Amino acid sequence: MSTLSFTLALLAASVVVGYLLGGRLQHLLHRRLTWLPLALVAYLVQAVPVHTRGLAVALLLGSFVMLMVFCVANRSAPGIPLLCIGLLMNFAVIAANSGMPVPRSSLVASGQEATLPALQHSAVKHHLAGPDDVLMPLADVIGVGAPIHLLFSPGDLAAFAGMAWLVVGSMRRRYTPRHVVLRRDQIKPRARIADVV
Amino acid sequence: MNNTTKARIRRLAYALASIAALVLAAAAGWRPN
Repeated sequence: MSTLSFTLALLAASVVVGYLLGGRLQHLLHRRLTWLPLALVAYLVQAVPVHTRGLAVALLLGSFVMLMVFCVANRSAPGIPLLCIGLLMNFAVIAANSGMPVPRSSLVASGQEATLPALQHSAVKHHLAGPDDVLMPLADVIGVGAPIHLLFSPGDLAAFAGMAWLVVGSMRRRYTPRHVVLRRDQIKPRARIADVV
Repeated sequence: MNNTTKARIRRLAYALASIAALVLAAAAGWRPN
């Protein structure tokens, strides 16, 4: 299973859970996420084919900075703080090692040992873990075998959980814009007849 | 299907695609594709 398929399956499962908990997809539309195109741009930036390693690392880190800006701008949305924590965890490992280290043992645990040559010639986002890599507990150390065959970092798990929370939480409650809440707070209590007379 | 429904479906698809893109960009799990 590719990460794309896993993400789409989790997204669909989140929508089903949202409905089971009494939510509605319509409520997701009412929650206006600020700078939504930034998420798409950040994803596309990672897909830009670059042959210079330094530029590729810079683009990858720049993409993470864009995602962080998006998360900070939408920090009041459900699940976004958790997604932001996952993002920071992945950013820390990638920035420290110029890419995400993948331990050989995790690769075997997830049943992906056949992809070792692909990993060795991979783009900048991943590389086979070596003795110089740091922050290894935050690297791709969680291998999930059949039928998923995927590797996750602890930051990935937080990001996926944050996404599911965002969908389910937004579906469940109707979003009230902040200015409406403020206006409601500013309503003066109705004067009592005794005060007027 | 009227225009309002079409626009709503389009906005919903855009929101879900953006959320998927967000988590795909944030995730760093190895996949060989």
